[in-house]
Amino acid sequence: MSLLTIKNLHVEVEGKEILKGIDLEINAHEIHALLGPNGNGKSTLLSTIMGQPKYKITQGSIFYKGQDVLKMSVDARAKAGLFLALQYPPEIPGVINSEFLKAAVNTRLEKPVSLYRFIKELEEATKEVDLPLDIVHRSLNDGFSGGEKKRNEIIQMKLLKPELAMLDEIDSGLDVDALNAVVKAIQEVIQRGGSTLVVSHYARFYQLIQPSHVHIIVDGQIVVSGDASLIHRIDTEGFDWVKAEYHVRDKKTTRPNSIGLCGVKEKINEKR
Amino acid sequence: MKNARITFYHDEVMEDSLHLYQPNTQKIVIQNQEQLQLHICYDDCTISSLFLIIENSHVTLIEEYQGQLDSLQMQIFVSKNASLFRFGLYLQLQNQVKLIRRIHNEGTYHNVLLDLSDAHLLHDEEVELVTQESKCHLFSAIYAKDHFQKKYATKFNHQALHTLSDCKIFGVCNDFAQMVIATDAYIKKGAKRTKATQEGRIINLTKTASGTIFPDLHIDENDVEAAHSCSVGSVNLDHLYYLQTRGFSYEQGKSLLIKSYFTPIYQYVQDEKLKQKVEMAIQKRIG
Ligand SMILES: Nc1ncnc2c1ncn2[C@@H]1O[C@H](COP(=O)(O)OP(=O)(O)OP(=O)(O)O)[C@@H](O)[C@H]1O
Ligand SMILES: [Mg+2]
Repeated sequence: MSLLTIKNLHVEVEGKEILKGIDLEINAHEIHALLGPNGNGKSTLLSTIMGQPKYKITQGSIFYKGQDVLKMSVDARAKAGLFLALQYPPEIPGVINSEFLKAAVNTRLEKPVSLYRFIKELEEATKEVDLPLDIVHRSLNDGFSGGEKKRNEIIQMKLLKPELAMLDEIDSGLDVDALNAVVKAIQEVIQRGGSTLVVSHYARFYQLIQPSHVHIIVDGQIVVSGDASLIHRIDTEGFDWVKAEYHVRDKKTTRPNSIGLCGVKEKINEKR
Repeated sequence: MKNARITFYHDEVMEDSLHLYQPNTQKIVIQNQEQLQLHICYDDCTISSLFLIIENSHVTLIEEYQGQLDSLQMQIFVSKNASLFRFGLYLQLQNQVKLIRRIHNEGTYHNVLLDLSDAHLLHDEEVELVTQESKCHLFSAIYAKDHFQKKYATKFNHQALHTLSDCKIFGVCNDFAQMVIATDAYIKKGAKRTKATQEGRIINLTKTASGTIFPDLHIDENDVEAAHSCSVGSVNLDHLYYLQTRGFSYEQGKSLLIKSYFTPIYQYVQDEKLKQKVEMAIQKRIG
């Protein structure tokens, strides 16, 4: 059975359509990569799957292990095994990291985790992402560096053991050692029979995680899907060939910078 | 560390000398104590004013208010070379309470207070910073619910060179409660190189709760450092969403965020027993 099935998903934010008919299927043991130019809907897709209330679904469906995700609350999705490492994790002063982590682990258990076991897992996770243990005694992400925030997301992923882990530019700002920790965390998910959906702009990161499926999203649509060879082509040629071959324009070029420029662009596009 | 405990009772005469009965005005003088922890409990207290004089001593004062207290005026004198760390716990006050505090500070004065009471409360505190280098740090965490009205007015008078006031007030306002937080720092002529900072944050949990902050700086001198910031808002929805993505229900996430307003108080509590008490009170009141 497929883990996640998305059909004809249309999503609006503040009255503007961002996703314009997404189809995506993810099965167990798969690593999916999602690429696309800035501002074309990658984060929107991941956040919509997770249930960010800002995004309004106007059409389509999302099913996770046969359950209608759109009928589930955000926390029900989390408890069912979905996880999203945010592109920009928020800073929450006053919420102590370790207490937050323990409570988060407990949300999916009937009996609270034993303190001994929790501390052991927490120690292992912080060690693997190479964070000093004292970071867990601080307020959640408060004053953390960019890389520390990302590492803290990986700690959460390791402790919460999701079945479908979605990682939104987890690699940005991470050094090589931390990248390897991400690779390991992804492997753990796959070994448990789960899958991951990863957004990144960097071929080097994809080389490490070896995605089994690659999708290119332009202007809210997946215009082409394939294997890892797509990444190589984008890394060397950029997105222009995708736009030319599949007759799409990315979001930036549809937004006029000035009336004159826009007219010129229209002409060029007509010629194509 | 020496420990002392004083309890004011309503109408019982206690045998031992640490339980004081009746007189309207009390005076406590502490002199030459290296480290003293004083625990005062106002249990249905009937005193109306209390003088506390601290000379050449370092005192931790834990003040607990409970029961049918309706008004208390307190005057505190902290001498040069003395320090007072005061922790105020307002947990079980009832009805209408007026607390007036006047502090004459020549040394160092810390005031940390946790107010989780279900009462109408008027809290009026004035701190005089009278000698060079005298300092005052104030941290308050206040919770108001139902129809209760709480008013906290705090004034700092900087009268000497190089004085410091640092005031942080966090409030959470629920149901139909009203909360007014007013902080004023006056930097008088002659109080050069003084530093005054004020920070106030209130969250209103319902549309009918009304919390407001009035931070004011009144500066009559040059060469001073003064800053204030305040924010009034509701629960941060992005924060709530983040917690939900980790499995917290809406209610669990909300209560975690409310509690986060009270978390900074722990950094001021060293005493383990007191810490537990504070933790339990917050847990019980806020969940
Ligand atoms: N809350 C919002 N309010 C208004 N516009 C939004 C909001 N969220 C997303 N958008 C818009 O939707 C579009 C898609 O944004 P999204 O974050 O999904 O892009 P992305 O593909 O993840 O880009 P990047 O590679 O830069 O992370 C952008 O034009 C963005 O400005
Ligand atoms: Mg993005």
